[in-house]
Amino acid sequence: MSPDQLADVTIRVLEEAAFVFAEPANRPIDFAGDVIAAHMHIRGDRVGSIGLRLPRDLATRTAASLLCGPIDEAEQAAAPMVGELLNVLAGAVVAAEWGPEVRCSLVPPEIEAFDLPEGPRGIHVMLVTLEGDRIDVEFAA
Amino acid sequence: MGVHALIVDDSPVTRKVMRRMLKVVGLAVDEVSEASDGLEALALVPAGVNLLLTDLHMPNMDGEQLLDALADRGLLRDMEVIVCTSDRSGARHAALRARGANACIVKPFGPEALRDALVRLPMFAAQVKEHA
Repeated sequence: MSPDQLADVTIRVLEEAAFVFAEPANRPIDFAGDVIAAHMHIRGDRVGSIGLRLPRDLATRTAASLLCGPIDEAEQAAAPMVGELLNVLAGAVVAAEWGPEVRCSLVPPEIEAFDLPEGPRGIHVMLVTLEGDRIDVEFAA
Repeated sequence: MGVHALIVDDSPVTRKVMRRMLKVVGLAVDEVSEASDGLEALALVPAGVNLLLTDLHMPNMDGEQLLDALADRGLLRDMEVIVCTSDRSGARHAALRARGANACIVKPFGPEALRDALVRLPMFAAQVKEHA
């Protein structure tokens, strides 16, 4: 899988699953504020790992728009939502990389809200949303 | 007979979004965050819940283990099961149906995909179409 392909899959998932519209960043940008990072392993016929990092503020706003509820509910849902986005993304990446018939298990994601975890070594893509938020995706197989 | 759905998913956002989709088509909805909680809920009110929508990849007990446990307890007889999963493998979906799932839908899905899956379940087709 190329970085462009990973970017395309991620952009489509973000849009369909969370109504977050993003594109590849054409220059490096920094994360603004706290970051929620999620990481999950792929096991089975193929092995790999995938990571996703979003600003906490973006995750909260996205959860708020999906939940249509009070802000404190969205704040609590932000980290689990990043994990779920990664889960959906992982399914799409597995199918794009190895075909829809590969048999893999997706180990439930680990979510870390403070420090960026030691990510997988592989393809790294930086995206930027319409509002200028950075989103990172990493995939290694 | 009305449709009473139970959502089993560890994501609170997914549960809430699905709840909203199901209520639009007139279903009564409950939700739990863990499969073991779902098993307990179903064992307590087996005649009440007749539709189970479960995630596949969950910590502790996953969707496959939940299906097996439900089958062991004879709880699949009066219940339709839809597995909601990010796994796109047709072979995996076939294996889930062999374990007792009536349908699989791939995340992310919108209201139309969920409604299409519901309409294909004979138990619910009429009620879902009423709310079209």
